[in-house]
Amino acid sequence: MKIMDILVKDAVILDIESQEKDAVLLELAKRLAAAEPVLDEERLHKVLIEREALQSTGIGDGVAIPHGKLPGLSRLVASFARSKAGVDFQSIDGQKTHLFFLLVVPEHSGGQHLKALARISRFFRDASFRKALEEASSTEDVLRAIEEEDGKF
Amino acid sequence: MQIVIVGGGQVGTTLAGKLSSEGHDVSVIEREAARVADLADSLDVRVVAGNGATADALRRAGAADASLVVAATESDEANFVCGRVAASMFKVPHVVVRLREPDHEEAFRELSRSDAVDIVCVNPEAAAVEEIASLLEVPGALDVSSFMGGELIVAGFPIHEGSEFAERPVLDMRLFFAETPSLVAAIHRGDGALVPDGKETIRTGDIVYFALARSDLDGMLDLLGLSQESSRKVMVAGAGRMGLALARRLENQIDSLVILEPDEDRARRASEQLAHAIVVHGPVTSERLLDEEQIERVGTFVALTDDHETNLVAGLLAKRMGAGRAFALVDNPALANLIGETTIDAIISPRLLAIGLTLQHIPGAVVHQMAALLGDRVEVLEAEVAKGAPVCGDAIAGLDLPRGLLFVAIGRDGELKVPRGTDRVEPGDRLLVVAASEHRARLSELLTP
Repeated sequence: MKIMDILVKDAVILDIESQEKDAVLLELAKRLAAAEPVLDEERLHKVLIEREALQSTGIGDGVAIPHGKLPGLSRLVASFARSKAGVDFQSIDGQKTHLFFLLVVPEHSGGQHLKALARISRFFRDASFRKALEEASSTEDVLRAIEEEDGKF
Repeated sequence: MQIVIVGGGQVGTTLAGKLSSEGHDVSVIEREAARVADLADSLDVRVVAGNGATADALRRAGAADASLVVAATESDEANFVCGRVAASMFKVPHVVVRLREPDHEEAFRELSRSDAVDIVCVNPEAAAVEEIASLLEVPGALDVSSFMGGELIVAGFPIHEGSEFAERPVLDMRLFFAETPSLVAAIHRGDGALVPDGKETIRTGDIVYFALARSDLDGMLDLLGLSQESSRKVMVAGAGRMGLALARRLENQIDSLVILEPDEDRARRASEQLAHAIVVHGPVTSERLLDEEQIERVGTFVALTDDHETNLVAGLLAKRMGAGRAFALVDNPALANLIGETTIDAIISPRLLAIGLTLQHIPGAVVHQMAALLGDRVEVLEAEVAKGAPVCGDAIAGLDLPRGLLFVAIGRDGELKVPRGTDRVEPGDRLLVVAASEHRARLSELLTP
């Protein structure tokens, strides 16, 4: 599975406005739902909040991978957002989160869902990948970084 | 508690050592004079020479005042008589009897009905068959134990280069499985064993023991790149009691099941008793035979003949010729110790199982299920939390658990809960704990009212 295949390019946000966790999740949901009309913004927001309540998806190193399952969806979709200022996402290392990768999957997609999560979390452990995203000055830069990482595995 | 153990073989000796170290007053009855002297030298327990199936020997060992008699000789018949005498004549309240034949168990229960005795029949061979069946259910696993009524399994997987889990922090399990208690329970690295905290990273070459909610198993196998075994071939060497029992157990689950049996009569009887499995008559260590039976297409090879050295050789041969995994029935500890250095993936030891099963049934113990990982260096325990146990009260974060002592899951009202720092353990909960051996005392302190 290539991440480029599930990334919704029109939903990439280079500098997210929100500064607080719930608002970030809402902004992510709004932007992705605008680009993918099959998604219900409110429902998606609720699913993401519920998932965060179990355990923050902030995996440390300034990265969070909010994700959730939505009924009615027929394929995996993902989006990327960046916060220059950083957001308190209750991440495991206590540091502010700058890079957000949102993953939304159909309700019954056990293996696919886990494989996508595994792949994305592996990408973000690569410091040069994080750096490329932090320094990206355009959506094209972001896409290029992801495409390059996709090619490595 | 006063305990009489009948039979000073490997099972009896190990049990006696363990129970006396826990402070119980233990006597062992042994029939062979030579063994009696050995036992008296090696164990800090009372050793009585005599036939444990007689009232006389039982009396001399103190059965009249015992709370528990364990009949653990090699012979079903001796265990049967011993258990009956203990229950009927000495009114021992708890009797554990090791019986291999299901027939004997039925008769034993029937005959003991009128006695006010709590009976546990331990069938090590049946337990071994169940163990093999659970190993087959989890492809690629080296070790599988089941807890919480089967809702949670602990399974060890080797992490090969390129594995999805190589160089991955153990905390990623929480990312993958936030709703369930699935996590990394223990890691075998080099010669060491560790119960990891969140900062640990899994490395290539580790053997990782995952605790997995049953609902996460398929997803996990997907991540590990393993496919379900049911679609692959299983080959069993030996159509004796265990081989046949395993074949019967698997016949309807595995599409392609082949049994090899060197003895012609046994092979014929096996094929009469099995509907779908293919029985092949021939030596189990024959390269030609394995080749003819397409050993390279076998997912798991299970060597269960009565000759344990043959099992070892057959397993090694099967692996070399391309079988995915090989399990071998090996009950001799000296032989079993060699296996760590070979390509055999798991040893099946009914004796070890008998010891574990018996310990689970010591009256008064709160432990319902236990598995020793990594040669006893890590223990997984399912315990019922007693009223007044120190583990209740404070929130889990307040218990200040050391690294190496891990609460995996709480079973409450028939559901599996993920224990969070703010949760409290309550009396009546089933608690699943992983403990490195150095924390055993602390764990027992937490669970003892």
